[in-house]
Amino acid sequence: MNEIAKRGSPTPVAPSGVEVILRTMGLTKRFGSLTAVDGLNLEVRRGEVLGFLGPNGAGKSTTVGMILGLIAPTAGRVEYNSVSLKQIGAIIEAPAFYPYLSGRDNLRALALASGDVPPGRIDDLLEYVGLADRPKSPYRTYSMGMKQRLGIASTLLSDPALVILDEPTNGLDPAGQREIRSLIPQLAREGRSVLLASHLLHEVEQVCDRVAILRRGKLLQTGTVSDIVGLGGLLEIQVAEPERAAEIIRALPFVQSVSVQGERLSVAAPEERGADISRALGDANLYVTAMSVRHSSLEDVFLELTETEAGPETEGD
Amino acid sequence: MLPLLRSELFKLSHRMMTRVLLLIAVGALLGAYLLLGLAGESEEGDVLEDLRIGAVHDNGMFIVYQVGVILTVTLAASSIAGEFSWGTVRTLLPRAAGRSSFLTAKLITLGLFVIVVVLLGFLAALLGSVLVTAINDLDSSLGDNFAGRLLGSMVRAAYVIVPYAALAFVIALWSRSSAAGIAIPIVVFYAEVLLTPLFTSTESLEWLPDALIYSGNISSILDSDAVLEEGQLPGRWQAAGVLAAYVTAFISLAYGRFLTRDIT
Repeated sequence: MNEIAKRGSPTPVAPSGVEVILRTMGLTKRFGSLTAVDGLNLEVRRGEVLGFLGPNGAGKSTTVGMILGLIAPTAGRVEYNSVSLKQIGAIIEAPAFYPYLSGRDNLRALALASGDVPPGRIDDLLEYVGLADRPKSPYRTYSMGMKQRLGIASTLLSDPALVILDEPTNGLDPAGQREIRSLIPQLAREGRSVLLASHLLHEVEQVCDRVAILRRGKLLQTGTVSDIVGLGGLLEIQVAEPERAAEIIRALPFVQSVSVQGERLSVAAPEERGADISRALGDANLYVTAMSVRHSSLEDVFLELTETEAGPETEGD
Repeated sequence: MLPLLRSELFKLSHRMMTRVLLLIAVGALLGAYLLLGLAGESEEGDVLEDLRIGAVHDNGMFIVYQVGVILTVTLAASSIAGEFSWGTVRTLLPRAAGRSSFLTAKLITLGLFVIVVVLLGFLAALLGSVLVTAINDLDSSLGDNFAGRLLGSMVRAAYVIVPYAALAFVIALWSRSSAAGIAIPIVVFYAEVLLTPLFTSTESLEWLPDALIYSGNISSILDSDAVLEEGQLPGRWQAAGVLAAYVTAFISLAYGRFLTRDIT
């Protein structure tokens, strides 16, 4: 089922039987004349990994801040279903801890503040993230990778239903990145939801069930990774008179865009419409000498969506 | 709120700064007594009289106040501004029972620090006065109700430190800067001392010292005539009321700002 929701669409509705644990409804934040988040409708479902994508300044951290109650929305609201704020573990922008405390003591300070962390949990988590061998080193002496690991441990302190990770593999070596990438689906298998904000699109493509793409505070697309990637498929067509062919193809109703590169055309259109394009060209005595389908990566779609000046036009805009 | 208080106390007790500040409190008091006691031995008999054990409730209180203000202002400012500069406010707040609980836990911890500074300061002053009394063979009588007077002095010293700590806290919270939180209360303190003679000599401003923090009110509570003559000081209860109003205003401003601020 195609679950893609476009900008300006009503609140996405989860398929029946899927529990939505958190929903933002028309969430908006303005800082003076700047609209950081603009009418955001987003939902996080139980046990899913939702990739939260957007270029710098897109409004990701502001959205997370509003979800966590750190930033007051100008309009709209966050609805928590069967999850309380304290059941959300989050790293926002970067791990932040007390530099004078050790990793263990930082977790202890947070555990004391939470008041609901079982004994032994801290040591288990330090073991889990590979920091058990330096329990007494002050946080300020940690490498970036160690800080990230401690950040992840802190998100899991209170057995959270939702884990929000902002660039969790920043500063990690390849082995560490792989560990985190394997940890994220594991969290989902344990029944937790994960909201993953990342610039590493291949990382998102590997671990996320759905993605939401944000630009200038507006939600451009949400949907499953395969559906979003499917948006960006291109038909590559080789034809004798490319300029005339381009005009004919542009007139077809299912074609989104056509670009000409030498004798080759790149046509943004559904893959199954290749025969229709070929027929239209044939009717004009233009014969296709080669046609292939080029599948896009999430990165292609992301760049196409976010680099377009006005963003994609959608119904209701 | 109790979990947050436990967390605050844990952080405070594990912070090197706390230990250094408390060490300074002890060292400064003991050092002041010994320095003045040894220097004043030959010439300044009246200085020695102030340093003897029977006068510790009076002289010690004044030094504890002077040192305590600087130490608590430092801690108050860094306690809240540090949360912003390290970004830990973002880590901690979602786990907290609420913003007001977070702030209340910080203020209670600060209050406890004031009490510990005053207690340690007086212990150091007591030790210093015992040593000075012994070294200079001074009158070792304690006078009437020594314990009661000592306790009263400790309460007064703690009370007059609080307005500056509250001012440091609110400034640091608004500015998110430890430096501003430390500098402004100290500037206010010295500006009052420097400007009060100007106020008292200007007819239309004569009333002002009674409305300021240190000049009229703290001086009245500490029985100090360093800035104003004894007859110019307001009554002690009036002074206590004015200081309480300042503390209430500063803390209200802190809550008002923190409860509505976006934590970005």
